[in-house]
Amino acid sequence: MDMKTADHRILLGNEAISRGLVEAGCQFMTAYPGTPSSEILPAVVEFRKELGLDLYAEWSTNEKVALETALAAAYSGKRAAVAMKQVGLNVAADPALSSAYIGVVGGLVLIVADDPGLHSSQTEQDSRLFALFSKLPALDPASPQEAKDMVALAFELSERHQIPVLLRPTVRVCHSEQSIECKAVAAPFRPADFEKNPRRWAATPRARMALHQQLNQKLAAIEKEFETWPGNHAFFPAGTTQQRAPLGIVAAGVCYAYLKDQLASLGLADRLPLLKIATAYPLPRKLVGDFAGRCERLIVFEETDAAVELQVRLPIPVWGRLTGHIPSHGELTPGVIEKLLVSAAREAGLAANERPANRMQEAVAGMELPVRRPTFCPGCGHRSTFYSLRRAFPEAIFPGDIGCYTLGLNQGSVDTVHDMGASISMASGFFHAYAQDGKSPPIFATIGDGTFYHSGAAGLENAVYNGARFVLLVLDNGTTGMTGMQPTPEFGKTADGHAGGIVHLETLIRGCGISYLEHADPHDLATFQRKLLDALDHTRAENGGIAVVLARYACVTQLKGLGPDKTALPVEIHHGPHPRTPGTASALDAEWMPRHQDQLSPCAEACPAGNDIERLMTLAAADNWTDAASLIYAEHPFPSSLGRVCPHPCESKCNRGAYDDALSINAIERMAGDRGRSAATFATRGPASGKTVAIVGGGPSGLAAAYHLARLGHGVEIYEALPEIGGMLRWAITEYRLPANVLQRELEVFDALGIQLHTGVRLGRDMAWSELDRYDAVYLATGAWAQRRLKIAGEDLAGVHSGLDYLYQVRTGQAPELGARVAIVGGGNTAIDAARTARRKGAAVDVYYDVLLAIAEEIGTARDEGIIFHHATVPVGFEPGATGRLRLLLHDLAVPKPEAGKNSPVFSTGSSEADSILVCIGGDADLSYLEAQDLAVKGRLAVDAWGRTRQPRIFAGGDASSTGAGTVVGAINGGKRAAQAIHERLSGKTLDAPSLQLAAGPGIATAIAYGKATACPSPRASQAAAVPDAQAIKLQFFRKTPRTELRHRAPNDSIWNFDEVNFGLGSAEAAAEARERCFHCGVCTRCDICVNVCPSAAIKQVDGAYQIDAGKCTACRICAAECPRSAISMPQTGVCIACGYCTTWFECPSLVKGADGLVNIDRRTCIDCGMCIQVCAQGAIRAQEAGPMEIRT
Amino acid sequence: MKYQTVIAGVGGQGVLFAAKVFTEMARHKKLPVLGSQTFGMAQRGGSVMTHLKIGTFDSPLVCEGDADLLLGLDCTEAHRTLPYLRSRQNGKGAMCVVNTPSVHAFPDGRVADLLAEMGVTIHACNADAMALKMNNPQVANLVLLGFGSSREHFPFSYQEVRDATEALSGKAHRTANLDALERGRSL
Repeated sequence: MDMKTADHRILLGNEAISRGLVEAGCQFMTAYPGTPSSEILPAVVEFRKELGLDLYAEWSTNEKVALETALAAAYSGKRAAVAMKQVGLNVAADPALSSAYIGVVGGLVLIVADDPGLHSSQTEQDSRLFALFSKLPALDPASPQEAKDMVALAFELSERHQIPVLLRPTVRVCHSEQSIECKAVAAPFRPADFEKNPRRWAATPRARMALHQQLNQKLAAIEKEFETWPGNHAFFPAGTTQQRAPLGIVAAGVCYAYLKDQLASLGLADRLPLLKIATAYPLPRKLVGDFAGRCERLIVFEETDAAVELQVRLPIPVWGRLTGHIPSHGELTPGVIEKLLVSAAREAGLAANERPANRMQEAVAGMELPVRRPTFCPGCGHRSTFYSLRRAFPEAIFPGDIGCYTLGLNQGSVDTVHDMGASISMASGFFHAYAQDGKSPPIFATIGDGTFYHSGAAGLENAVYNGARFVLLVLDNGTTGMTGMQPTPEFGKTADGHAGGIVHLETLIRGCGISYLEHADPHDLATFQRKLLDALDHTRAENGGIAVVLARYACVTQLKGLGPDKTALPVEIHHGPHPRTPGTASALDAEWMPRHQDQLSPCAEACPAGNDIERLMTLAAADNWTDAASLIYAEHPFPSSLGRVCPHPCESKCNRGAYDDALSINAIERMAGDRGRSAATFATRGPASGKTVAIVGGGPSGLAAAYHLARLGHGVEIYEALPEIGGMLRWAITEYRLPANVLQRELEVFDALGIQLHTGVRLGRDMAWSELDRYDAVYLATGAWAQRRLKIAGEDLAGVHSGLDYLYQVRTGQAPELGARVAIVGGGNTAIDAARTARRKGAAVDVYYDVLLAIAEEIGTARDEGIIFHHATVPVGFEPGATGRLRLLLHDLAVPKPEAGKNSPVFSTGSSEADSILVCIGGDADLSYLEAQDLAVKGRLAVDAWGRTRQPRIFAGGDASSTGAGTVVGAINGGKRAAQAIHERLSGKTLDAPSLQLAAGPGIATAIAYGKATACPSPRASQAAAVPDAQAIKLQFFRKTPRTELRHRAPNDSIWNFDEVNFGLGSAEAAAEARERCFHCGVCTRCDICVNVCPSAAIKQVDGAYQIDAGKCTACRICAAECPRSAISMPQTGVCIACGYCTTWFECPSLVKGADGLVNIDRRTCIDCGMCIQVCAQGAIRAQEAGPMEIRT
Repeated sequence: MKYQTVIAGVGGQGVLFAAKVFTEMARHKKLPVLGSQTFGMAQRGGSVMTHLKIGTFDSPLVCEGDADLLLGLDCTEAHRTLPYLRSRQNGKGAMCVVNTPSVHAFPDGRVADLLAEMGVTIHACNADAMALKMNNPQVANLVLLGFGSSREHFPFSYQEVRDATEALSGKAHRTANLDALERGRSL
């Protein structure tokens, strides 16, 4: 080589091939990228630009279409080339075999790069054997220069014999660099000139037989040419010319290059004849035979299999893979070849200078260096995708595919990698295989955009057609990442810049018959996981099917950073002293370890009646209404009543409310009362204490106190002024909300408990205060029945009534006629009850109110029943109207009183008329019975939170007391509290108030006071109990499910009678509501998610409880972070504790574990994607300058 | 000239660029070059190695025990590649230029003894720290090249490395790349 004058460039083998192509006048090139062939087409495009050639180049969507496309160009007389990797040839096998028969007009070089040693491939297949099989001539270059030179020869051969020629470089040729001599373009370009010849181009089987015959003739002629092919030489060292050499070496392809250097260093170059073979098929048998004639035996070195060796028929021994002299797998590197040569030479009786053992190799092996496996680039969206998959679906089957995302293996969410596109077909296969057994494990297939265009659609179309169900994630980073950022059809950008069309992924996916196609961004792990769960739901829905999730994010390597839609979020890892047990090197102190520790659900905390609502939901979900009722009876005897009239603060606090709709707890309580056993069959009187308690007032507060005191063994007597007990439940709450028979059933428990009832006895009227002296304790719960005054003019006019009195009169059949038009004053529950009652009596009803305080559902029903509400409009006076009616002077509160009228007694903005007016603004307590007792402050009985008055023997609660009741459930709360305080006094035990309290909520758990004697001991109560809020719930684990609507009687039907309007839920509906919608906030449901997510398999379930193996637990806190309902207690340390979770499971190369196990950020590679923040459950990885951490427990 | 070099690093560290600098220098001197590179899967953070043979060779691969120079962009990968280094020949030992976070690049006693026995000259520096200091972690490869090429017996002079780097650098990175070489030289 004269390197001084020629244009020499240092080119990669693939670039040398490209140069060979353009110099040989190749006009048309197609390719599909794949290591080690990917650089050929881009280099062709570069040379095309450099030389100003009219050369068409395309990235085809797969190897089959690449070959077919190029074949048409060759049919038209042009020189064409196709490039692919060895496994790509499998995809192109069909056109390849036919192309041998049919042949070409213009030369066609099929470049197939093999990968001995599997640097980046699935198989070590030898494409020269494919050439044998398909009867295509195959060339095997030894170096980049030879590969380049071969291209021109291959075109000529191809055109001479009208057959495609396979050029097979191996990885060490493709990716070797060499000084290459570059020349000008030698061959002229030709116009397309397709000559019709159906007998050839569309040959039928009969015609194909003739073509096969011709093919055999062509191969015979080609073999003859190969005998003198410039790349085939025999070298006979001077010392071997006289006699037969003991060993002759046949070297094909790159092995020749290795041997040339190796023979010299082993001192064998002048002793062993060497035959270089560049034409692997058909083998020039005469050349080999002549060479063999001068050797006693041969050894064949070739990559990757035994293509040459198989074709050799000789009378002397031929050593190679077939004889076991050469290993049948793995790359023949110079080191391997050296060893094989030495042992072969020795076997042949020759001495060879063996290289001394490489002691450094042993020394380094002894260091056990960490294996550096390939991983996703820092910031790559694939990492989050696969991480999320593993976290959310640890038990799913994950068929994977081929591309960068094969590395999802590292995250444990790629289970199969077979061939391009197989993820989809295999997902389909897994589905049907399990479906056959009636099983449906979650299946998540993953495929990249490039691979989907390559061969995904065919599998998807098949899966849809055959009714498979699985989730397919198409990971769209807009490029073919692994092979070097080749464009995909998504953007219409072509290899050589010619105008292309766009194939939208969405269109293609939908075109395969997919109706469920959602986009998701894995950078937000929780939302992403939620979308995956939605997709999984679709695969299981009645009308569901395959769900496709399109995860679209830019390739960070292509962009050299985060995509434009992402904000850099620099992170820092906090190190510092962390809570280890003193004196131990590894163990964290027990309080920092995970503990399955139930918390208190917010619903239960909110319930004034102290219901164990979470547990109630568990029993309801199991359709176990008997135990559900018993659970409630441990706290109070009124589930049927409260299930109808309670304003349900529990539902307001339901964490589900922040997600879709609050759980229908009230209706479930009702179902427990209606469907379960009655309280009378549950509650029993406790062992007699010998103490007596008088309860004054048989309303809900008095009854709740009586219920518990009797169960605690005290002798209870109730004094009730009205003819029957029940209080507001009976007299004020209307029949159509709480039917009398329902209440009656609940009141039976008081007889069952042996409580003495004195009805029709009013304290102060029918009995003197002094008569209470004989009781050990007295509970005053006399209510607030006296109508509060409006303090406006006309309040005492005929036709103005107390709403509460009216409701009582309706119940007792003594109600006055109200006329055709009734006005209600007030916005509380009594106002609504009065309004709806008047409506049922046939009146048109208007409600005037300042603020609406009534239960929202009841207001809605009232509106439906035709009642008119006048918002923020209050009466300022009543006066006789024109036609015998009453006139209401009204003040619209939105209109301010004019300055001038400030002192004027009446300012009105309008008026209205009514036949009657019902005033429902709350009652006052009538405490005239107190006589001289100094127990009242501001008209109410002054009490503490436990109903204790200033007299130790006297207790009070309900509406008559200073704590007030307001609602039935509030009254029950007061009764329960007073019962505990009275019991404390009577039993001499100290009231352990904090132990009864439900965190910071109003309710108390009286069940605890009964100890083991109760059916449902409740360990949930404690002032210190933690209450998980909505942020503590992992919403991604829960499906959005709408609240089951309660059924109501239609308004048109309901306003004509007093029948119950609200039917509640059916028992199956109530059970389903509890089963499918309750989060069970803070309470372990044995869902096993902790077991599945634990990276060190430290958690197992034993006898219905979880055990944590302290030896395995790394304290990574993933179990606590992933518990859907926050039932695992484990405080965050806020510092790196060397658990290794992030480096093992998230495996970002920018998170580097030091020798001490602590993790640091490798600032060299970190691109500030910030995703690792979401990964560290200990909270050690935080955004820079994020401020102090909010510790979660 | 017959010179065999192994460049070892991790995918994404710029092993390919460092190799290009060598081939460019050889091309400039009109010396034949043969080399072999790693592409594909390993480029995603795996072990990456480039073999470079300057002079008349046929095989693109360096045999273990034959390398004259090991350029280690990463200390762990340098360890893995140590078996490629040759022993002293005609009184001349091989050379190892390595990027290391710690003072001793090869603290293992047995490895250190062998290196001494083989007569390998070790030039170690913390190129990463320098590159980070420059706020440009990508240029650690050039810091190391600047460092190595300014030591005695490096096959090319600092100026040759500088010229080749300048010729290969795109406009956007040229100044930073040359600055990295200079910083390396000063280490």
